[in-house]
Amino acid sequence: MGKRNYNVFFNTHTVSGIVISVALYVIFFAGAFALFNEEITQWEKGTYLNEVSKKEVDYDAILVSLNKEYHLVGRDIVFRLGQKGEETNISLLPSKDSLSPKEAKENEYFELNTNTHKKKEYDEFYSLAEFIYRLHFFSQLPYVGIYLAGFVSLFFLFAIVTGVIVHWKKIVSNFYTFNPRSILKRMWTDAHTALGIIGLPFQFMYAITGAYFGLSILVLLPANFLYNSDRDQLIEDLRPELKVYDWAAKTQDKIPSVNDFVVANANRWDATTVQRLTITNYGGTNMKYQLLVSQPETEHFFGEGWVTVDAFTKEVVAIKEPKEEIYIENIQRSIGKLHFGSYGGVALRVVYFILALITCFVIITGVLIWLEARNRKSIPLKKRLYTNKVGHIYMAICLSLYPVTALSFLFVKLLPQSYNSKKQTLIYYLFFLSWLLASVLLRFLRSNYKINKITLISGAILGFLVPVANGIVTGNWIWKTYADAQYDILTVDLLWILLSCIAVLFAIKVKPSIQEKSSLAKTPIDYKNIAAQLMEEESKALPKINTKNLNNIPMRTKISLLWIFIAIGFIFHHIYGLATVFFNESVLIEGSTGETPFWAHQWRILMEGLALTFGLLTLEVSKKWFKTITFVWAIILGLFNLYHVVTAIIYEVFNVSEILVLILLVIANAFLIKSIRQWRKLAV
Amino acid sequence: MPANSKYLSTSAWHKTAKIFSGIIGGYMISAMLHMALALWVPFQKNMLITAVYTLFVMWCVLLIVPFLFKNGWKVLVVYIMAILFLAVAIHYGNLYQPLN
Repeated sequence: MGKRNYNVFFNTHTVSGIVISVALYVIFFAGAFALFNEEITQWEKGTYLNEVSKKEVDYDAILVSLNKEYHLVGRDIVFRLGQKGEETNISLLPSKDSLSPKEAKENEYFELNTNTHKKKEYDEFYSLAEFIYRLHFFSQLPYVGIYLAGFVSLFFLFAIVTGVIVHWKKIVSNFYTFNPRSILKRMWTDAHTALGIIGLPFQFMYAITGAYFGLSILVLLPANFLYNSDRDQLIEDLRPELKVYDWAAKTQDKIPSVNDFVVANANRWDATTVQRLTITNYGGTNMKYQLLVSQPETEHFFGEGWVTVDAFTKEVVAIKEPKEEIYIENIQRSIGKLHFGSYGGVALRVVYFILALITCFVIITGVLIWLEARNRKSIPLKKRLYTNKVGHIYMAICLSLYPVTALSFLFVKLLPQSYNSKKQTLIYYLFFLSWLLASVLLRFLRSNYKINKITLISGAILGFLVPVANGIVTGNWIWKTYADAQYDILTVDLLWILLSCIAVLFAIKVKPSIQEKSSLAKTPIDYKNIAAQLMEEESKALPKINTKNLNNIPMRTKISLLWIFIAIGFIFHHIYGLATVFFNESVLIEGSTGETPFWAHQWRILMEGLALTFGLLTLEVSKKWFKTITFVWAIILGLFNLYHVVTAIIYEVFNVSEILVLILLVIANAFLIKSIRQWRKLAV
Repeated sequence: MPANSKYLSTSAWHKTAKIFSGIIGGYMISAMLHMALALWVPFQKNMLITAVYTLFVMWCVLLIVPFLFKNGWKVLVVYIMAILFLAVAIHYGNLYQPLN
């Protein structure tokens, strides 16, 4: 490889790596815990698992009681039976019968105890396990979170491939040169490449499967095109078990027993577990029952079988045996198996967990190399300040995730039962606020050594408290859960003890003297006299020649114009929204009284109101605080505008004039941020 | 050891052209190649579903390729030509051997 290509790839590896580093760290860290989703759910509930065979559940009784509440006629009913214990998740799809009442046209999703018939809505069974699982793909960011995670995954793939290209020649030799006593940069580089190579197959697999889960819409798009947007046919070909059966008519006959169907088909093949029971077109003349079962991997690696039976004639409509190898189905199943590590029991998931944490370490060392390499005397102080600031923020956000997660585990254990229905909100507040607070506080320590030490020790202390809190609150001490064979609860407690032990070990091993091996020790930054040093540096630089440029617009005029442009953009956005009246759309928003509601005022003031205000004030005010306020607001507005474009493209891609205005707004906003930034600097 | 900047392209336009071709063009070529192959090979649906893995691998390769070029516009032209060629292949594929 030529010198040019080496440097180019090196640069792309650095840039892509640094850009995605924090997001990728969060994905891997949350993902490591999400591997134990089911165990954490069980741990959180704290009740002992009551193992029941899904083959003997009284489904008929459940359907009778659900019918009273939800009007099942015309709906599809899905029982997800994959999890252990008595709880099962049930989805009710909207009724296809046009005569059904309005309530029956809604989607329903809840958890039901198949024994006691006690039902829990989503916010009642929301758990920390669910929160962490969703954090893994940024689901807390509405609409765009999962796509963001998908793109991070794609660029992770890019970073992996460019990384391998760059390190190709040194892969073998670097394995033997690893020396923890050498200077820090050498050590980070060696650890980064050695662990990066060890974890390569694992990371490569995750980059691809992760990209698929986040961006599966981009895989479907070409397929959809070839099928001429015939969705039903597409599903029937690629996911035959989800074939759609249209609603015909309501039946007057008695609904045949589902229990009999399950009993008759559950043991059709050897050693199967029931995964899913689907009832299509409930109460219709063409009602279908479908049972989906799986075999253990030892029996058959992709062993999934299913059978669809006509409820009335008892005729088998479609069937797939577990031993049948169908490429189209297996390849899709392989992605899920690889990604969730669901093919080798707990032991495999522990290996996955360790590899995921190693990947976190690879990400962190990548950022640290980047920092170490940029702490040289020859680099201007201003630039060094910036890289160090970015480094401290990155480290603070990433490393504080560990104590914050431990704190959340403690929190859900100590939270009184009566708050269960508000759990989602409370977890959001606790997790994000403590994370924000910890990140801000740690960032201002301005020392990665201290950030590391504090997060390791606080995380270890909180982590050791997790099994203790569990024991005190629920009585599930580890020796008791071990004796009673409640391995799910035990796994989570042991995981925290293991993690805390490792954290303590590292915290002790990392001595303050290690800081002397950082490049920062040779060329320290004196944060107390920053202003004076910066002045000195600036005066050393050659005075800029001030040529008169006739093309120049004065800075404040420019900023003011940009603010007003943005305000006008918002106004156009509203007009386009209103203009649908001409095209015969009903404009009245439900519940309108003729008065403008408060939320509308709020948005008007926040959007065009503030933009106009700042546009006006910029003409007269040039104080420092004003510049800071406008700068911060311009950035927030910019993010909002960007988000607006993305959602508009996703949800109304054909509204081109609207999208154009929104894109112009983003561009104007970018110019605005740039100009205000320059304006702020002018004063110094 | 940050990369030696004398080898890196300095023009923002060239950089933008490369990144744009890599992300948008790369996806289009990768997706369209899978479509064209799905139409022209005998095992159509198997080919189509293989995209769950290969679409992203190929996209990643096409993200890297532009950086081998010095001139970003050249990449853009090459990618556009590839897209046009694939569009023709898909068009005739749809005419003569549609998905069945």
